[in-house]
Amino acid sequence: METLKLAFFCWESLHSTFKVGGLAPAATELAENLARMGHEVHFFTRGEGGDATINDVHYHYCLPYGDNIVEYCRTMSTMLVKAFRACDTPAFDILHFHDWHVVEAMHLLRDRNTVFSYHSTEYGRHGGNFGGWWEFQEISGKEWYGGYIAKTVTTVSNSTKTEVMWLYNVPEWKVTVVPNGIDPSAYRTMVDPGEVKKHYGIHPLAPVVLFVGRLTYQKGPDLLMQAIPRILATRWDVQFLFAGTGDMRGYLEGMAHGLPVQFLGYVADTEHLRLLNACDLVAIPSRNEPFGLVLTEAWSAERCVVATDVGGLSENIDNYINGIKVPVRPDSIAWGICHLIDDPAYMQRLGKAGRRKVMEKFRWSVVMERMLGVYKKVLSGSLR
Amino acid sequence: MTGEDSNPPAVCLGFDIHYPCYLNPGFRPDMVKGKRNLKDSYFNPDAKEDFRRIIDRSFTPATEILLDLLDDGLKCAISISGVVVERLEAWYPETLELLSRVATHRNAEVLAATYYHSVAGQFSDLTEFSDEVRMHCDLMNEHFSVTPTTFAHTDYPITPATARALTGAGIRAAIIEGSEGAGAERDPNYTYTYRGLPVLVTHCDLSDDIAVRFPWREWDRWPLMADRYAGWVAASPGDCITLFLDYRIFGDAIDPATGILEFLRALPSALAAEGVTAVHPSDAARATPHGEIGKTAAPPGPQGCQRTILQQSALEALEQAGGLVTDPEVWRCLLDTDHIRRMAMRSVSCGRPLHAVSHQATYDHFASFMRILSDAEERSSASTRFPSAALALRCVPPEKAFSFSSHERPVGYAAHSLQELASMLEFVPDDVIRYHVEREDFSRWIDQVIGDGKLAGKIRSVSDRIRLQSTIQKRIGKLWKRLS
Repeated sequence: METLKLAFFCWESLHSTFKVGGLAPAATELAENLARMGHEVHFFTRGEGGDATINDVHYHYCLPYGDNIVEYCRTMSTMLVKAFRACDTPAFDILHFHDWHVVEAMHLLRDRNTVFSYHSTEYGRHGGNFGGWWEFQEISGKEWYGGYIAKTVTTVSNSTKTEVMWLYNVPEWKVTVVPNGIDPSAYRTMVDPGEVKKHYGIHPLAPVVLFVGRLTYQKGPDLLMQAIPRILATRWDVQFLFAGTGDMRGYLEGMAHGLPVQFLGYVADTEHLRLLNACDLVAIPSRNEPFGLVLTEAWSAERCVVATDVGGLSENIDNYINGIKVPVRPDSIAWGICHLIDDPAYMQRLGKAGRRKVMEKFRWSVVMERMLGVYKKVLSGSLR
Repeated sequence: MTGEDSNPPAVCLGFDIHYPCYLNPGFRPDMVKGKRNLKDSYFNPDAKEDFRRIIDRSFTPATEILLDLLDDGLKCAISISGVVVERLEAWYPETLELLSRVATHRNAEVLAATYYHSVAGQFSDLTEFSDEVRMHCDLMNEHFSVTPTTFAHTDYPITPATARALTGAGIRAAIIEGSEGAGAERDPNYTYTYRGLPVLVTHCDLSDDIAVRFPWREWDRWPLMADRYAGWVAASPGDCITLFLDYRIFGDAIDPATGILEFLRALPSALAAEGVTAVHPSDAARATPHGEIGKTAAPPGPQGCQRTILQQSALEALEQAGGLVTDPEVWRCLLDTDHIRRMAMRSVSCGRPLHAVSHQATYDHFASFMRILSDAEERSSASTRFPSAALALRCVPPEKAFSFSSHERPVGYAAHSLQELASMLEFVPDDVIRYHVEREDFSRWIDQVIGDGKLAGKIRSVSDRIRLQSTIQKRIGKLWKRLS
């Protein structure tokens, strides 16, 4: 395949000064893997400082402003397009837009070969609820428009595909599922779990359940918190670590009083890695999860998971083979954790099976091929 | 690896014949005031009758079947613990006679084991482990005039140290467990070497089909027939399938009414019909090894094997107790792997009956275990040169243990001896230390429970973690020196 000139539009990347969510690694790593293949990748995003080339990807930064999120994204989009036009000779082959923030940029460039990726939906980010406030309406509108004008659309899972088809009337033929990729070798390290646990004042042999993610309604940390007393009723020595921060933290800390729970706040990558490899089980109690990067991260570290039966989690976990899926209810989450936590050998088996699944389906080389397939289809015009 | 026309693997069949020294769960220290024979109060007083029951249900019928099978040419291996031999000799010599007919049969191989079926291989000092291996070898020699060369190392993962100790004791091969440690690394159906020692890895799935799932009516393969099972064995890839089964499965753990004994009787001919030959472990171990396992050293410390907090406390206390309990018989009976196994809610079965109990049950078992160990240490202290030193070094049962706590909640672990307190101080959170120092809990516990007034006085005003730890550690060293 000839090499392509690709433009990525995304409001965050791993190499910008702004706080990073789950979208950043997904977009950045895709860009880097494409660049490694020899494609010319330009990444238009927010950030301070001048343009930079990191890991073969060319970053073009802008500093937007605005009174509210919608306004802010509008100015960002115009700035990104301006930066884009500056390097549009020779012309870009594919313009890849990530999430609603950059839809207005896509509007300005709608005649080109555009790909729009839904990493999540506004409905999903609110735990599968509709909101009546104006931002919700505005953002949903942009998500609809993005799906409408893009030449093709990708989603990170089948459930997100169904969700956008239902929410925004995107026709089925226009949507391809391309999961988020992962570099499994980056998540498995040799650490002594006992040492890591000791660092947090936990007995080196106490079973530890880890939650990683934003402490927001969508991720369901409150469901896990409500499950804890039920777990402790059958097993007394389990400890819980919550890595991440968010608007629910204060509320959760109130709930955690007297429970074996520690809030670690935002943890750095190296610490995240140590935690992942030291914990006994990863809990993913999300109410809505388009893909669930936490899942593939846990699997890469050979950890077993107890996850709610929603979205990408539901799709990717094979129940009792590489994890346990439970309904979105505290007592079910408690049941799942109790079912596993007493049996370390069983947990290891599930974790190992998870890692095998990652190697089969979620490695970047596999995922990138699928994305390139989408680009090829746009270029050949076979979509119309 | 696997193919339609590949030869079926051989099978290595082993039986573990053991009867643990069960604890007396109702033991209380005041029960034994003035009593001479402590063993009767510490351990199950009805052991003789209970053992009779197991012999009648399992040992006798299974052994009779096994003898017939051996006569017909089946090759298998047995491991008989020293405890069983001792007890049979004292109580039921006719059963020992029956077992010795198996052990001395030309088609049977006698395996080496630890005399007390003990956890001594998990200690940092392996003297007891080596001693027990040697004792067991001598016993086998004395009773059955054989010198076993293959060791059954299935209750906890093999370590470089135990492998070295075994080689030193003249052992030439070992059967290790396939569910944890080095054994879980690779496909179990081959011979490997571990630090130069040839090892056979037990096949957990196929073992548990018999040991665990056989009687389950909910199992989609129920009822399991010998020919079907033999088909599974024959279809497995590899050179040799190793099955090492607890002997009590046949008739005791699994009721004879389920047909388990008939299964045993039919198995060899079914295997033969599928073209599977039975071999001795020592012969299988001579096959060209498929590679070295356990090369990537497991992280140091107890994390290599999956222990619970209770197991860890008990093992530490047991190792210490080696130098404190004067009656070696009592101490060695407490070393039985069965006691430690019961301190986990679920243990890997891999050829043993299923063990799945509540956290409460593991805790209760741990509590009686520590009560007995603590009492044995207390009683022994009187006969040492420095009773007060021996007392200060003893372990205490959970009701007297030092439970760490913060202002808000208990931290979830407790120290059962001075030594454990010192090691736990390494990772106890700061606010917990502050809380206990404020309330003078450390010095009060050391003074009133451990009974070391001198140390209590020394640490009363100490609030620094490192200094607390080093002061206690120094004192422990001094106490041990006094005893030696």
